[in-house]
Amino acid sequence: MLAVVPSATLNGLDGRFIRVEVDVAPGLPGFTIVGLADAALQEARERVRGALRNAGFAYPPRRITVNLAPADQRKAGASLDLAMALGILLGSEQVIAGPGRVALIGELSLGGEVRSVPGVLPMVSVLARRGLRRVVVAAAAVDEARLVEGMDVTGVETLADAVEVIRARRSRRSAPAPRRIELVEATGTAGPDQGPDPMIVRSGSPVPDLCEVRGQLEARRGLEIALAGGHGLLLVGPPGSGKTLLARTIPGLLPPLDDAAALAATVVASAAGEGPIGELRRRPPFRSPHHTVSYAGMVGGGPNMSPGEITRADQGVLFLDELPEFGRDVLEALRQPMEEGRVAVSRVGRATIFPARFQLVAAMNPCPCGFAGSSDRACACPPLVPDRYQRRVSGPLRDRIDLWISMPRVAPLALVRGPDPEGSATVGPRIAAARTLAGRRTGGVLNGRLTGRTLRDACQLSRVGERRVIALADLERASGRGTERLLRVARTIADLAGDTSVAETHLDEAAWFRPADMRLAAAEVV
Amino acid sequence: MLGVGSGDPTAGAAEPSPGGTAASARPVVAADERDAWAVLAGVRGLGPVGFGVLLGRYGSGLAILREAASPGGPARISAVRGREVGDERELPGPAITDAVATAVAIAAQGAGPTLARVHELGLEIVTMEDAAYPSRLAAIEMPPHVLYVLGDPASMHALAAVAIVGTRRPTDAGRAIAARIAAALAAVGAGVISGLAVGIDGAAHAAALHAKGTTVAVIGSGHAVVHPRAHSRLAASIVAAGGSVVSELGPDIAPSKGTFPRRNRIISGLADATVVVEAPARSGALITASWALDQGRECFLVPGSIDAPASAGCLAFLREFPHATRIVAGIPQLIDDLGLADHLAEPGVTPGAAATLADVGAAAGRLGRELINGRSTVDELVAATGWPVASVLAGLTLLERRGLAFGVHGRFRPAGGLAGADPAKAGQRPRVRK
Repeated sequence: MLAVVPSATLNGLDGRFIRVEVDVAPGLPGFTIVGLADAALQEARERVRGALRNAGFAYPPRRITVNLAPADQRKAGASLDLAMALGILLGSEQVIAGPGRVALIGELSLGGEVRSVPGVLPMVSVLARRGLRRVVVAAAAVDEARLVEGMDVTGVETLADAVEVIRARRSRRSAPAPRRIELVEATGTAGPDQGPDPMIVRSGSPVPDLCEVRGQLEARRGLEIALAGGHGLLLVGPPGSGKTLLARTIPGLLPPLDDAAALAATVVASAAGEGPIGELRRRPPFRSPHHTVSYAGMVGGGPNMSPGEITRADQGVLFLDELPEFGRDVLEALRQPMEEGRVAVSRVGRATIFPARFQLVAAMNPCPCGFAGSSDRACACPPLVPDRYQRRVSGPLRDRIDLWISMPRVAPLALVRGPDPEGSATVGPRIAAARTLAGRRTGGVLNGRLTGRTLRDACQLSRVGERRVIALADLERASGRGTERLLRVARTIADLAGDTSVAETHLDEAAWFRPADMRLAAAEVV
Repeated sequence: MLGVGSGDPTAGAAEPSPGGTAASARPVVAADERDAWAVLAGVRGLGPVGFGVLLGRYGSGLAILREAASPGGPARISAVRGREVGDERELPGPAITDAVATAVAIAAQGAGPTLARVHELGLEIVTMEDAAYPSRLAAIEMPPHVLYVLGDPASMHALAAVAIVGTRRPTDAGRAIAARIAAALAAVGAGVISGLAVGIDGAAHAAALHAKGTTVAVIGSGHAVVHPRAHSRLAASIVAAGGSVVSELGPDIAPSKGTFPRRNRIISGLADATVVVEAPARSGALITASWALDQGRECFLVPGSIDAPASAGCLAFLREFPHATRIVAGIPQLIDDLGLADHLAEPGVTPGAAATLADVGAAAGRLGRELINGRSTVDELVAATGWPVASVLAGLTLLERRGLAFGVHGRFRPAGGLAGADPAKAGQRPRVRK
């Protein structure tokens, strides 16, 4: 007899609706899976057989054929285990289903327990789009699945629980989800009156407050500008100057993600298998991959087309500590995502587009030994080596870094004495206000992404301002890119000051954050 | 290259020509005695000692070239034994190695491109016998026979000249001191001699230029391979301002281990006194200081903290030669000790720097003053002025744009016309009560 069970798999960040067709027919006993299943899916035969036996059901000694439709697309992962097991029970008439369609998503253990899989959120959302209204998932994934509007979600611990649900067709847990969201039509038009509920802004790891960063006024100012305008940022300083601490304060300084962004971030977290997801991720992600990260680890891909670090940093910050130590190909691969906000990953037979709208924050030492410019410790590098080290930030990346910031080591006195610096609670609202101002002008585009004509229009330079740009171009070695960088940053500085047009002092300050080698080029004598 | 100058059979007629008749028959690269010296001095490995020995043996540069170009010449040249001056005994070893003798022969046959390169690079040749040869240098032991000069040779004839040397990796404080000494010397009209290296040398040259002084850079390589390349602009500025870049080496001779210590005797030799600002242990600057003592010139050292690695060499030298050396106790004091005090301007922000600061506006001017007074980071400048960080950054950009502030790695210092300015507290001249 034929049984059809709806289920879903994960392809990149998207769920894919799968019809699991199980035919239990007379003939030589056997278990065949057809429909472009990968190795993990083929192994599902063993898991399903063991789970059925150990959960107290009969494994029918008949010819079992599982077809995964649509048949022409590759399928991976273990999310179909539960659907296959139920299909066999239905096909062998051990279980008679109640009325209505129920989808099942979950991995089985040999003992019959149901386990959660990565990507429950996108999988459930694709089911919703296909018109399904009821879904059974692992108990651990119930909260995640309930993020999808209009879904009746039932969590199960074991295969036997799932059988009960199918038989009874009665939701074992009927409590409504605390907050739901329409997945399909998510846009970024949430007005200020319906702002996100602060109660659900939570995050896994604690985020340090900006007031823990003492001294480093230049770096604090640069960070504020970078976050207000979404500019790429590079911190240059010796070990112990606080680069990493400063970078780690960023999630607490950025405004919480709006509904659309939060949903996108949550989908990525789900597909990346970042543990149980209880609610929408309102806090912008902060990813800091180690510099030994591989190309696929950074960009995405691998056997399961998993999202890479740049996608996991989508809507948030990608922090690259020890920038010159990263592989050259890994850094080169950042070019397209930084231009387009997404990355296309192609493998044989499969291609996926991952979102990658991250803000780049990088850090590096001033020289190979790390102590150039320190007052308390001499640099051990030969003369001119530190200068060359600074030039190691190569082409595509340096064009995307708008703010270059030096972080000399802070004198111990400043660490223990002096007024408490501003905390995240003071600086964060300033950043949010500047973003709102910029967003109103350009329709939501951050200043860091402005170029060409839109950039010039946004700046509204006076005649005096234009002359100042030309004068400052000398510091940038009169390159077009340098001038655009200058205007972008100046625009954000003006936004922070609440000014509609860019003035000379804004330009002067923006020029301060130019690349380090522009400073080196300014030799001692002209 | 053959036939650049044809051998004038009469030019060396009066000279003895031990090489025989073959010499006069061959063309020689040099047209006159000065060119001959230039060719010979440009031979790699032929230093003042070898040159002197050959001159003693053959009598003239042209004669040496003729001998070298003749068949069997190199062998005869390498067999020449030097004699101690005033002594008829021959020195034990050969004065010229076979390799150098061969190189002399190649140069003599016109294969060496020295003269053409000299003209191509616009160099002037100043030989020991010229009036343009600096008298201070002529007085030292082993003066170079030939100087290749880019710029005005008269810059080596300043009434007073002081060498400023030091480490290539100075602290910001050391760099500022070198600049202030150079600016003060320029203000009293003394020439500033140094070695064009990065670090102290560069700071001294640059500050002398900004104070409208003349400065002479003695390099340890040929002019075509000026080292470091980062200072090629500085070298051009020195020449443009009426100074000169000087080498005793042929235009294409690359710097090597031995060339810099040898060059140092010219630095100290061109100067009445040598000032060492920051030298770590085993610094090349201490070699210059030793040369100064050997040459009977005054030698000043800037003392530093006993724990400062950058000053360890200075302190060791002071300890080793307590009676021969002098301490720099302050810049006015140094000018006093050099006997140049009559012309000295008032200490404090020098008139040039004050005008510069007034010119950039009140805000940037205040920041410039704070930089001169030793504040170097943005944090320190914000603390000193009490201004918001945005204003400090904008003001510093203005200073950078005018070339008045320079810095990387987050630490800034006065540059350009401000580099030689004295901090406010430098005016004190404490006296010891007797």
